[in-house]
Amino acid sequence: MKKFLINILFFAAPVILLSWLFDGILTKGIRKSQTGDVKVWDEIFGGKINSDVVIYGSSRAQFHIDPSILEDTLGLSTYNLGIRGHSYLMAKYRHDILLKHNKTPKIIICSVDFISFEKRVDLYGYKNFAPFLDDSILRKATKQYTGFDCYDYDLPLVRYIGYKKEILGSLKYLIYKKQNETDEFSKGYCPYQENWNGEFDKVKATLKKIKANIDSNTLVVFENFLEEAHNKKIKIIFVYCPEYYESKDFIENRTDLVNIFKKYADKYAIPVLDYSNDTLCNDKKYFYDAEHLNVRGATIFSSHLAHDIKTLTNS
Amino acid sequence: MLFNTFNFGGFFIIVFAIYWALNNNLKLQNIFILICSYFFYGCWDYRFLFLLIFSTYLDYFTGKKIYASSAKKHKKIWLIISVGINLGFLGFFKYYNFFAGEAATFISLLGFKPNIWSLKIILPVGISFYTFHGLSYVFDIYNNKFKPRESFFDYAAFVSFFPLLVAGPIERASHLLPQIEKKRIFRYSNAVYGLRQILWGLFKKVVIADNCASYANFIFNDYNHFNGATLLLGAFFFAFQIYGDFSGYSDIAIGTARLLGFDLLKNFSYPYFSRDIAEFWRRWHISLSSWFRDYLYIPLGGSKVSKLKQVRNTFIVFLVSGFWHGANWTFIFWGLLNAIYFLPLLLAGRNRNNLNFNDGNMSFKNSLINFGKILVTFFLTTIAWIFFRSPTLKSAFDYTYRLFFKGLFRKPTVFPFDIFILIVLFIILEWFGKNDDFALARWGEKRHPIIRYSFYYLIIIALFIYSGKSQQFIYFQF
Repeated sequence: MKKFLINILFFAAPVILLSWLFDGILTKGIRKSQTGDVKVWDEIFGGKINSDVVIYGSSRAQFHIDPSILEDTLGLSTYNLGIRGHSYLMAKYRHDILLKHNKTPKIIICSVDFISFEKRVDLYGYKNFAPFLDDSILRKATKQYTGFDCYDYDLPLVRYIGYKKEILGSLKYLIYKKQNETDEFSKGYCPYQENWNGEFDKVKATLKKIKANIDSNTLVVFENFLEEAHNKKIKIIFVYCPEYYESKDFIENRTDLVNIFKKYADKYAIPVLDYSNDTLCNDKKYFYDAEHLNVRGATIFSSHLAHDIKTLTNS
Repeated sequence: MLFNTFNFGGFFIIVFAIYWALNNNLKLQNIFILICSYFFYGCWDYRFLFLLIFSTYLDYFTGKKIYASSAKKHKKIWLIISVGINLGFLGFFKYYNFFAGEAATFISLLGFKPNIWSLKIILPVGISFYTFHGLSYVFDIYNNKFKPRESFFDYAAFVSFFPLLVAGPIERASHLLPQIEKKRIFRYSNAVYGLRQILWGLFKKVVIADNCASYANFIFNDYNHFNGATLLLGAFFFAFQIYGDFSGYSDIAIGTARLLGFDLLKNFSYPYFSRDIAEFWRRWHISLSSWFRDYLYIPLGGSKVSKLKQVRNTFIVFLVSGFWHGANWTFIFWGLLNAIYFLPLLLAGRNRNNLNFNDGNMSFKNSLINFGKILVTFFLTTIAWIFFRSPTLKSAFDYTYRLFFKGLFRKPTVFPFDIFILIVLFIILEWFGKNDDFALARWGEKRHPIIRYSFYYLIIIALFIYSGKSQQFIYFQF
């Protein structure tokens, strides 16, 4: 038994020791080699955002609002911090991390929609969070979802098990100092090139309505965020991005959601820019699905939004 | 608590430490195994623990009664009670909904409105396995091959021994119980052998099976959008998924038991290198095949009856084996297809031609012929797996039709090159290790420790990088 245990120890010791080392190397490699959402997180943690205007929300913020157009019109540095697949629960944690590592923004544009107060069970895009799990705020955030377990948080390398593409990309970066792929993101904005994909037509045929899930905890978190911003004198603007006109009827509790936004807008004197009836909404050529504009639509919408914000801030 | 999780790793380290610390007290050590096994089972579904305990006590009790009865008639009554209740539970939990559904369909076909009580029955994990453990015990006592045991704890530890509780290998009382009753001695070589088997089992499950599963699921779930070549690839991936999954599980179970000083029955012996279907069935899920041979095929007359009855017996065994896997016509058809494959060999009296890898003439010409036979057997098996994997018979036939008639010779639309290379490497390693219990069994024993250890580290790195999306072990559903 003694020989067995000693040999096990000799066999396992290099694995354990090297796993700490490789965890550090891989974390650095993945943070630097990956594009898209990982890069956005890396810039937040690296204190590279430091923008006057930031945009929060889901994919409907991330895909719709081009910060460069806002920058040109407003003359203020802008960054899009929309995060696809997530509601204001994750957005609040992202906001806290932003404030910890970057300057406080002057204006926050909140893209509000039917998933704003949703609480999904799984951690959407969980791989994007892995290299940042050492941060206490992000740990707390990710623990609200299923995706990582205690071994991922506390044992080295475990969080990267099965990350074949990311590991190889990271090693390539460490050797060649070249990123895995070209970055489609620009200051957090993700332009979507494709044309109308027809998925909505299938949904329409089923005549099934969707009920937006309103999570009470997310509502509390959202209100805390508004209150905190109010106290810090950060200007908040609610924006309801365009959606394809036919899809409006498919959200069963749309009125409830609108009433919630109105309630907060009234309480904290937040201006609301509603584009749900914009002319863009009537033409499929600006969308790739019912809820998301393509790059053509997003460019036009960003331009409208920039001018409206300018008018709003000037007044 | 899946074998390929950190939870199981932690659980086993604690079990291993306490177990060997209790080595001076056999009784206590066996009770400890029993507690750990019930805890392990409880982690799956504590609600069915009572069923496991009841089934264990039933076989323990009826085993004693069978042995104590002097009249053959009384022995038979006790045997019927045991088999009836055991199969009754199995039938209820596993097959009730199937039979209820089929009866409803039949009644509707007759033009009546079916009013059959349907239940949402959850299948207790491992029920097919522990039921067969217990049945082997009462059958052996009934056939005077084995004496009932006095200690309930020893017997219960045999039935519920955690490494084999949820998916086998299906142990025989005559093989495992004597080991439970005897003091185990820790042997270094045995423990290292066990660890090596666990490592190889993990590789099969995590790297081969789980990666193949992603592609097999992708292709099977959307098969009517792919050409024949892609569907063939899907079936090929499933063939390696199920082999890696189940034989990997068995290797981990056997290796784990070996670390505790037990020697479990071999469950797989390189089935995809079989030269005919009869050989395949001597190498695939050996513990189940031999169970059916001993407790079904031989009592039916085995091969000592007329050819016609042999054919009947073969079909019965394959159909029952198919049905054992699950309550679905797909499994029954899978069993039937294998029986049809088997039939020509049986009729020609050639079903015991290929018993060992090294038998017969090993000339170049013969090797080529054998290689051809291996390919044909693998192809037939792969086609049969389509029925095993498909959710319904209709989709299985559709899949097979599309495979052969909708572009079999076109370029596959899905071809994960790296996974394909991993499978090829896996086949090469298995080929060179085919005369041992598992491919890594003797690997590097004569090589320098640095080379040996480097190879193990390479496997660990492969486990780390290629760990596929974690999948449930396929055989847990049976």
